[in-house]
Amino acid sequence: MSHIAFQDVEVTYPGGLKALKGVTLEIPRGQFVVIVGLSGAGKSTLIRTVNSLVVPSKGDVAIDGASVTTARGAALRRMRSDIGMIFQTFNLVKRSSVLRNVLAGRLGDVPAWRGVLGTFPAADLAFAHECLARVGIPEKAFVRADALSGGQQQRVGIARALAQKPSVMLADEPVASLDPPTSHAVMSDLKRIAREDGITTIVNLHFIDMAREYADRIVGMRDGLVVFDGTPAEATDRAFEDIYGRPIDEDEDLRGA
Amino acid sequence: MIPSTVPRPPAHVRRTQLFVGALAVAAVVLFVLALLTINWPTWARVQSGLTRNVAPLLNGLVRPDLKTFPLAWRSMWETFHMAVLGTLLGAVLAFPLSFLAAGNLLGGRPFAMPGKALLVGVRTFPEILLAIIFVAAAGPGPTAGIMAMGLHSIGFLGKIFSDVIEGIDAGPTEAIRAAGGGPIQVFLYAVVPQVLPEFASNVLYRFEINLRAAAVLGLVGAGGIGLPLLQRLQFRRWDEVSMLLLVIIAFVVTVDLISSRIRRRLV
Repeated sequence: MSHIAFQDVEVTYPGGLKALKGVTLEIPRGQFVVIVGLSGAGKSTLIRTVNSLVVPSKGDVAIDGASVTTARGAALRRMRSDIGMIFQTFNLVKRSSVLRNVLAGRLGDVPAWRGVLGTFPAADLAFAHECLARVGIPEKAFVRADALSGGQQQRVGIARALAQKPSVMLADEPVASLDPPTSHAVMSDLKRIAREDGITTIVNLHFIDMAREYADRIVGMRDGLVVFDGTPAEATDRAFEDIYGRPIDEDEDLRGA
Repeated sequence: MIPSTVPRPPAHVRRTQLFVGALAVAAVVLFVLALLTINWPTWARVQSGLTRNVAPLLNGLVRPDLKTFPLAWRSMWETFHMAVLGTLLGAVLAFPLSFLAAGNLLGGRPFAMPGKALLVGVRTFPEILLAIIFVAAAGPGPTAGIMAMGLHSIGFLGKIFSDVIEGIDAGPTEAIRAAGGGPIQVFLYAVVPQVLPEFASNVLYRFEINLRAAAVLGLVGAGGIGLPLLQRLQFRRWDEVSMLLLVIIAFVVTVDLISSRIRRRLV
């Protein structure tokens, strides 16, 4: 059975913009899926229907057969705590320490009063430190988040998601604010961890060569629809021209460094 | 080719020009009316006032009466504590209100309207008016002053707090929601850490304002150094007034210096 199932998902934003026009996808457990497409193609919207930050106006998204779309309240929060998410702009609380940001990932699993008092069980503290170690910045735990470089901040973002012990990881343009070498470092960390933990991962990316390098499967989107679905080997320049709706030059900057 | 006529500015530009012109005319008319309305003192009155009142005043002011110092210090100390309690009262009550009045947390601007309206209502009353009401209700003394300052501070701090809340970065709130956090966890882990330093800084700023206000509230019997000051002003004991003023100035300047230094480190 597929791990994540999109069933004819449509999203119409208030104001009438149709961001998704009927997307059906089956993603098996442990797959590393990269979604490519122009800005406005619906990539971010699609990824946000998985944890119901955007609620589909039609259709359904299910994880392990349980609908996320119809879940509400406590049930939805429980499902979300199983889904890690990392963001283009990292979304860290800049004034808080790195460790506190990572501990936010544990909130879904600790009793509410612990979150209120900020007294996390020793096991959770240790796990948060372990997550930081896995993304290669164990020494930054007590530094303020805004004192880190962009690449390090995104690693904190990954550590926060890992702290949830997720079975699904969503990454919305995780490297779009980073320079090319740092982007590659962050992407290979993400891929390595997804492999090691068997986490089903959906990543939105701009760069063609990075999509080819890291993806198990590439999904191309244009104008709210899936227009390509295949392996990196099948994702030829011709296929990308179709996704982007125009020719791609050899030396064009759509390729990362 | 040069057009035969200069193009006229579009209608909305001409409307604006007309409006600005009308405003300027209205301002001039108001100014002239104000000049005509005021009863100007005669030159003779100004002269006698200068010799009879201002000369002894300046004479007394440069010779502060040292015997008044203990009283001045005691009154100012009371004033200080009034300001502390008034600010604390205002801050504690403004904290929850500000979240009700912030348009980005409770599901949209319409839900924030009652909170905003309440805060505007509280701010409308000048402190001195509140003090007069509380003196009438609770009798003269520092309690009335503290209540007046507290109530006025709620309006002030509540407004600033809710502005700070509306200015936070929404990214972290989305991140906590995505991690399965409920409203309370979003509040504690995404909102509070972002707003707390600015809240603290504004509470200190309001304390500076309240200290100066508390020195005046005594004029209506609401406790503090204002009452002894008023009495000595009425009896024209300029040397004692001078002592009281010196203590007020020294105290306010010192508190401002310390407080603004702390505030710089907070934000």
